[in-house]
Amino acid sequence: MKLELTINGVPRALDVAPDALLLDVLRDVAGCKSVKRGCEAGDCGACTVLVDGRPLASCMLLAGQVAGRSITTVEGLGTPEHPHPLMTALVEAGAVQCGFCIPGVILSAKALLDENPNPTAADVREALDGHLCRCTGYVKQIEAVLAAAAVLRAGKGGAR
Amino acid sequence: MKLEGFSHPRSIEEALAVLAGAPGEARPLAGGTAVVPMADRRARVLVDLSRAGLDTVVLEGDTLRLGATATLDAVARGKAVTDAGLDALVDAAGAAASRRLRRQITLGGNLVGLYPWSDPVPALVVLGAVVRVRSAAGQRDVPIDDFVARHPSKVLQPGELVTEIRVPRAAARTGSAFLKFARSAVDYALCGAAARLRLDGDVVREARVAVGALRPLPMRLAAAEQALVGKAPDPATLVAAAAAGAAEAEVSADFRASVEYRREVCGVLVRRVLETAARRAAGRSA
Ligand SMILES: Cc1cc2nc3c(=O)[nH]c(=O)nc-3n(C[C@H](O)[C@H](O)[C@H](O)COP(=O)(O)OP(=O)(O)OC[C@H]3O[C@@H](n4cnc5c(N)ncnc54)[C@H](O)[C@@H]3O)c2cc1C
Ligand code: FES
Ligand code: FES
Repeated sequence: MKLELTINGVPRALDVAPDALLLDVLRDVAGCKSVKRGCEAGDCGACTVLVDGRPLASCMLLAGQVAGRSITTVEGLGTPEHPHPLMTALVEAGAVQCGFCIPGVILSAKALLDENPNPTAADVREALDGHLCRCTGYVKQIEAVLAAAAVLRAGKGGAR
Repeated sequence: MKLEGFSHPRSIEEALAVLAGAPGEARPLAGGTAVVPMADRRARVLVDLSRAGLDTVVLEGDTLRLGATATLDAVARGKAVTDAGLDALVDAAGAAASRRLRRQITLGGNLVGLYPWSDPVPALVVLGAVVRVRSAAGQRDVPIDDFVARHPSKVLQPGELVTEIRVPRAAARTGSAFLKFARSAVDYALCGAAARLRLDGDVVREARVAVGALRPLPMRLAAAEQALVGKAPDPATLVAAAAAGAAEAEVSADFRASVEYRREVCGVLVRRVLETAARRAAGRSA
């Protein structure tokens, strides 16, 4: 089956099996290894990607469902040389340990900040609801998202 | 049957035509959170409803119209839902799964799949929702009590879709609430309870109480309702009604909890939703 979609701003036409998960297509066909397979049951959030700006679990989507849509993974947000302010803030807050949950956390946080540039800690906690982290205890992640929000509001992170 | 591909209809009429054109082979797909992981792909074509314009959340006159593909997040945060005074639905849609999953799960998929843990369903039952069902041949409205008395898969005919869930706006002096109890913030409910009370002067004029997650299908608690009507919603009355409800509830056991434990939780939750519904009813003058 031919699947046309946009991945990180680049239009793609991929050959996929009709029953392929978006998770597998992104990792194995499109090479976006930031998208993690944690539970493959919708529980952990590690596979979260943005679909037309909405954070959704790519393990709960067949690739065919997102035909024509625009997908964003963390590869599309920043690089080690030019990190997104959320990435910088997470590192600076010491909110990254093993890192497995972090791509999903970044994308849900990005969706929150796009919707609400000035969130409260409660808003951040709610946005990260459904992202399991076995390492950090969450507090530093919440602080990091609030810090990134402040940076973005001040315009220091460039227009993203 | 092997999945061959997807259809992405742009309107409800187009979706119904696709279903009518491939009887038994085309299957609706909403949020996909149940269809996808269960590899339940008994379809040749999956009909993706996400672009068919079925995601409205609007209050029209005295009816809240919820499109079948409105997500639970859109329902829980919908201004129209709050404006309609339908607090039990706000409570229930916001209590399901995690925020992340609520952005994906649709109200229609949650209702048609009717899982024991479908949190919004007991709320829809006490709020007197009506389920609008359409096929290429026509349309029918099914009261929620009938829609869930048997599993919806037995109510829906091949080629039929739920297009809309219609909920009447809360009347004056009417309050509702939903609560669930689960072992963790994201686990399925061990019990869910919903109530709607209408007051007249100092007494309860009308009461609806329903529970979910205790057995495969949700259940109205008629004895609890009868224990309320005509009485003032004072603590003793609410405790007695909750006890009557817990006694009549049909409860099954599973690996999460025993019958006895679930029944105990049911009594507590019913009392608490009655307290909240009574407080909200007293506060709603208009
Ligand atoms: C980890 C996890 C936790 C969850 N926790 C909860 C919870 O606590 N509370 C809760 O209420 N839910 C919870 N859910 C959601 C629930 O279990 C189902 O997955 C969900 O309700 C299905 O909705 P959907 O929109 O994704 O439907 P889909 O998976 O797309 O479809 C479900 C079924 O309905 C049919 N269908 C869908 N829409 C229509 C329509 N308009 N007309 C006719 N047929 C239709 C489909 O063909 C399919 O048979 C959870 C899900 C997951 C994965
Ligand atoms: S891998 Fe998708 S939610 Fe865990
Ligand atoms: S940093 Fe290890 S799981 Fe979150």
